Amino acid sequence: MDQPSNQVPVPSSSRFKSFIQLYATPLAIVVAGACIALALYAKPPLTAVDKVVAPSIQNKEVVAEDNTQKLKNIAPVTQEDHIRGNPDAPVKIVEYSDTECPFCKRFHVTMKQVMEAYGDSGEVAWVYRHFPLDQLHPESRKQAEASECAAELGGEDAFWKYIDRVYEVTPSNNGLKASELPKIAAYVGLNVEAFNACLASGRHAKKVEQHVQNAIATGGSGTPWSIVVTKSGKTYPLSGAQPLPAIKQLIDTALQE
Amino acid sequence: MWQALKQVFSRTSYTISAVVVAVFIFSISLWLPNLPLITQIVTEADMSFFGVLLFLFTLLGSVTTSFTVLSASILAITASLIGVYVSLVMYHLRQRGGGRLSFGTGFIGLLSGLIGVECVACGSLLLTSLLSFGTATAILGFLPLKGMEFSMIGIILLVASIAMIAREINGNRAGIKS
Repeated sequence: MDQPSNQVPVPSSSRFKSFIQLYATPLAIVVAGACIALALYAKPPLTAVDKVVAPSIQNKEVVAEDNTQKLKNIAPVTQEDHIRGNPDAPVKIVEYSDTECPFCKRFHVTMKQVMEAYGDSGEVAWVYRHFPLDQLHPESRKQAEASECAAELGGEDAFWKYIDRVYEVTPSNNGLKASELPKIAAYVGLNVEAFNACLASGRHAKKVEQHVQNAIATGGSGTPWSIVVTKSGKTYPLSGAQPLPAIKQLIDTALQE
Repeated sequence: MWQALKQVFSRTSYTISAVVVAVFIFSISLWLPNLPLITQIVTEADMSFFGVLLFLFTLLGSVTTSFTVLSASILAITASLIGVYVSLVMYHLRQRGGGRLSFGTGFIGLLSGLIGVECVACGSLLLTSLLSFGTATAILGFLPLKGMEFSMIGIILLVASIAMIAREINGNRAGIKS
């Protein structure tokens, strides 16, 4: 025989509501934590957009690599690179940068200060690579190619003068239009006609694209993206336009190795 | 809402907890993009404990180099609101002697705020991690405020959550009085 109950039956909807009320807080915290942890440590397979952006990193091995492993994908520093300072410096800062990113503009100034502090002693070399974020700054890819044309026509000195001037005059966020590029070429003393011909040919597009692919392969997901390489080959990732004191401390640590 | 806020923050312990949480969220948001570097410095680099602390402190300077005035303000507001929200939740849980809360927007607000905070730089760590690089930059490029929208939605949702929990605190007080 069933026992008589003195309790009013609770409707299932009320029980559900009660359950939600009771566990909303801990559930929310757990789910939020899980989402952030997942976001940080696991990337989903590449999408169709990525196949356009990063065709060279479509294999599963690269996707599965963690952050440290990705850093190993850094292209070795060679004579093809743009190097400011001692090419044999014990510490190299490889920067992947977007000329129209406002934070890259700030970081460019910081890197100049780094070179003032460590460049003369030959302790640090600054390696500049291109990482134009096309979806955000469609103007920057052509600017990257323009700087390569400057290098072709005037050597490393012209490259650095050109890139310094671009960062100096651009208001950022697509503020520097393509029509300004020959003017910068003239400003740094290049033959404007030859410069225009070089830019129109698009012959440096492949090199810029290789830099972009390498930035992504090393784990770059925004700009500026830098990798500090020590004498022993150890790598430290540096995301964003970090302040000078932080970079100096990182360099000093890298120099101790 | 103001009555509940006044009631909670008249107690020093809740004010302190709000400040601690706000500072924590603010700092974490600045460190998050360099979490792999920090992990490496802590586990591999030959750096003293004091050196690590100094390094973490110097990274906080990125608020002046990696943020615009607007995005830094939004980050500060979001962190402060999360601090207020957590203190209100703690007060409410103690007040009722158990974990009965009716809020869902708190979680969404918290998550949206965090995503938004990371969106203010060129590219978003969380967004690019969740959606992959190409999709994330495409979305950010499409958005008129380049991702700041997430921060704004986060702030709105956090304010809504604070208002909801404040109302519950007021309701409880009225219940106790009657």
